[in-house]
Amino acid sequence: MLKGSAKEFVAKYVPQGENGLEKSGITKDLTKALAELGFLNMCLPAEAGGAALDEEPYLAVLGEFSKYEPSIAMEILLVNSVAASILSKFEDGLQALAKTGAGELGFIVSPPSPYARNSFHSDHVSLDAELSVVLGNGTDYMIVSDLDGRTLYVKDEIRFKRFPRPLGFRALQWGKAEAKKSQYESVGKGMLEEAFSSGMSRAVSSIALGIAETAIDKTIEYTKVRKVFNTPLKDFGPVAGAISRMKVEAELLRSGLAAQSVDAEILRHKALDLALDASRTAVQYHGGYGYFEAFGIEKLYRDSMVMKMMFGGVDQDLLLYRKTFRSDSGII
Amino acid sequence: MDFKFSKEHEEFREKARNFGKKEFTNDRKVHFDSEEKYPEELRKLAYESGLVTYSDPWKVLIAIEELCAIDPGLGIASTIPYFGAEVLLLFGSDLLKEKYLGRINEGKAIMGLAVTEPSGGSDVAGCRTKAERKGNKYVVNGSKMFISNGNIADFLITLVRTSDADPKRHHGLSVLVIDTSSPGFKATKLTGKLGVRATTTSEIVFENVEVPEENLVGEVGKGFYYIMTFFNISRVFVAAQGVGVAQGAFNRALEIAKSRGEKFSGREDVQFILAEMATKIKAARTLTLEAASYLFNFEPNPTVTSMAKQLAGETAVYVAEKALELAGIEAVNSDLERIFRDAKILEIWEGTSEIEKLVISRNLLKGEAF
Ligand SMILES: Cc1cc2nc3c(=O)[nH]c(=O)nc-3n(C[C@H](O)[C@H](O)[C@H](O)COP(=O)(O)OP(=O)(O)OC[C@H]3O[C@@H](n4cnc5c(N)ncnc54)[C@H](O)[C@@H]3O)c2cc1C
Repeated sequence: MLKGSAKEFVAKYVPQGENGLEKSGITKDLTKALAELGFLNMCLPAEAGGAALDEEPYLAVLGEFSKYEPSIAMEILLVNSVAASILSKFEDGLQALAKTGAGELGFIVSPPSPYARNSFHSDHVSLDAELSVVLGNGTDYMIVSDLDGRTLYVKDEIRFKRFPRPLGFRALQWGKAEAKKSQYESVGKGMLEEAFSSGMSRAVSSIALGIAETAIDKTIEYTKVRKVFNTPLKDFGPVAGAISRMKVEAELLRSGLAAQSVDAEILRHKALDLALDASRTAVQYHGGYGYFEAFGIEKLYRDSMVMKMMFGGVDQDLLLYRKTFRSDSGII
Repeated sequence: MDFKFSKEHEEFREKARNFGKKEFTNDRKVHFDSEEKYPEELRKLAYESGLVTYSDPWKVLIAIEELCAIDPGLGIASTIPYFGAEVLLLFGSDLLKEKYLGRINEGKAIMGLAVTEPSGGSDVAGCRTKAERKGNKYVVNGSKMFISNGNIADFLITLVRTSDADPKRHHGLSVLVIDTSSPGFKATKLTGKLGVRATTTSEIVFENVEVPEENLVGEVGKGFYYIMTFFNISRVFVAAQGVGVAQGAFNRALEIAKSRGEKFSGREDVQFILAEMATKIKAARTLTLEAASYLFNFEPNPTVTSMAKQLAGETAVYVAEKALELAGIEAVNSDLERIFRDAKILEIWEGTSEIEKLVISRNLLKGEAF
C-alpha cells in the first residue's frame, strides 16, 4: 500500500529550483525512502513482497511524479514494469525483485535496440559482455538482451562507467557497462523487448503526459504574467492558440489513459509527441529564461527527447502500424 | 544566376572544415560544453588562421556554417567575439572605429552587443536602461540580460534610453560604446544553459557608469534604427549558424543510417525522414545565401533575411530532433545530443521565430516583395 503521495515525497526529498535531482542524482537513501513509502513495489507480485496494485494507481503515481521529477517516475517504471515483468518468472529472480522493491538492491538495464553496439560471449555458465548504454538505479544486477534477443539476468561482476551528463533523466544512473565472467541466467526470448515496447505503453504514456502537462501548465502561468510590447503574452493569438491546442490534446490523452478502451500504442505515440511539442514550445515561450536550468523548463525538453528516443523511434512505430492494420505493416 | 561558390570560396570552405576537424577535438567539445567554459585559445586560433575576416563577408558566412556543423558551441564561440562590430562599422565615428575596431581587427579585443533586458528582449523599444547626459558624458543606469560575451568583452555596444519625451518609445533610444572596465559596470556570468555552453552569457548591471560623450554611436535618438539595421545583418549570419547546425546533425544521422545497413537504411520510414531533413536544409541554405547575396551587395532585404533566420532556426531544431529519433537511445551521450541542445538557441536569439514572423508579415502587408 502507498503510504504517501508523490507530491509529499517530492516536497521532502527533491530540491526546488535546481533542476530537481539532476545534480545530486537519485541516491541509495532516496531509493530506500521511495521503497518505504511503497512506490517501488506497488505492482510487484505478492510472491516478491509486492502490493500487486492495479494499473490505475500505478499510472496515477507515474503521472504525478513525472510532473515534479521525471527521473523518479522512470525509476518507479524500471522497477515495477521492467524488473517485475522479467524477474517474477523464476525463483532467484523473485528474491532479487523483492529486494529491489524494498530498495535494498539496485539494477541497470540495457534498453533493447537492434542497433546497439553491444557485444556478448558466453560459455553457458558465465558471460563476457559490453553494453554501450544502460540506465538504472544501481549495479547489483543487470537485465539485458543478448544478440539473439534472449533476456538475461546478470548476477555479478558488473562494471559500470557512468556518463557524466547524459541528455535527460540525469538523476538516474546512465553509462556503459561490462560484465566480465559474470554469472547469468537466461530468462526467455524477447522478454525485455516486450517489456520496453507494448508491455509498458500505458505507463510510458503516463510519464510523457505528466511532462507535457507540466510544460503546458508552466507556460500558461508564464504567459499570463510575462508582458511583451506591454501586453501579456497570452493575448497574442498564436501563443494562446498553440497552448490551447496542446492543452486540449493533453486533456484528451488524460481521459484516454483513464478509459481502458483507448489503445495503448495510440496513447504512447501521441503522448510522446505531445511531450516533445509541449516542452519545446515551453522553452520557446519562456524566451531566454527557458534556455536556462534555473527555470526548470529546458529539462522538460531534454527528458521528452529521451522518452522519444527510448520509446518512440521508427521501430516502435511498427507496433502502432500493426495495431492499425492487424498485421505487420510499414516494414518496407 | 549562379548557384556555385567561386574556387576561392570553395577552398576557404575546405580550410574552415579542416580547421574544425583538427581543432574541435572530441575532448574539447565535451570539456567546454560540460564545464561551460569559453574556449579562448580556439578564438585566437580561429583568428590567426584567418577564418574570421572582415575582408570578405562570404568567408565569414562559410566559416560559421562549417564550424557549426562540426560543433555548434565551439563554432559559435570562435566566431562570436566580434558580435556587434557592424554597428560601429556603419554608424560609428572615425574616432570610435579607430579606438575600438582596430583592436578587434587585430584579434586583441572581444566585444558584445547589449540590447535585451530582464523585462524583455523581443520588444527592443521597451529598453529601460537610462543614459543621462551630464556635461560631456553620459551616466548609465540599468541592466541587460543574456548578453553573450558580457563577462569577457572589453566593450559592449549598448542600447540605452536617452529620452522619455517622445510618445513613440523607439525615438528615445541611442547606442553607446561602454568599456567593461568602467567603474559601476558589473557582469555576472549566467550558468546552466541548455546548449551553446562554450559561449558565455551574462547579466549586466550599470550603476552610474560614466561614458564619454564621444562614445555615442552616430546620432542621439537613432539607436533603435541602428540596432534594427544591425539585426538585418546579423540575422544572415545567425541563419548560417542554423544551416550549419542542421547540416551537422544530418551528417551524423546519415552516418548512423548507413552504418546500420540495409535493414535500417532500406526502410522507407528512415529514407523519407532523411530526405525531408536534407530538403529542409537545402531550402534553408538557399534562402540564407539569397539573404546574404542581397546584403553583401548593399541591398539588404529584411523580409528575406527574417525568412532565412526563421527557417534556418526551425530546420536546425527539426533536424536535430529527427536525428536523435533515428539514432535512438544509443545517442543519449553523444555528439548528437549536444547538437540537439545547441540547436534550440537558434529559434531564440537575434529575434525569436515569432518576431521573425512579425517582421515578415509586417513587411508583406506594407507591400514589400519577396
Ligand atoms: C544564450 C543566449 C545568448 C543571448 N545573447 C544575447 C546578446 O548577446 N545580446 C542581446 O541583446 N541579447 C541576447 N540574448 C537575448 C535574446 O535575444 C532574447 O532572449 C530574445 O530576443 C527573446 O527575448 P526574451 O528572452 O526577453 O523573451 P520575450 O521577449 O519575453 O518573449 C517571450 C516569448 O514570447 C514570444 N513573443 C514575443 N512577442 C510576441 C508576439 N507579438 N507574438 C507572439 N509571440 C511573441 C517570443 O517569441 C518568445 O517566444 C541571448 C539569449 C540567450 C538565451
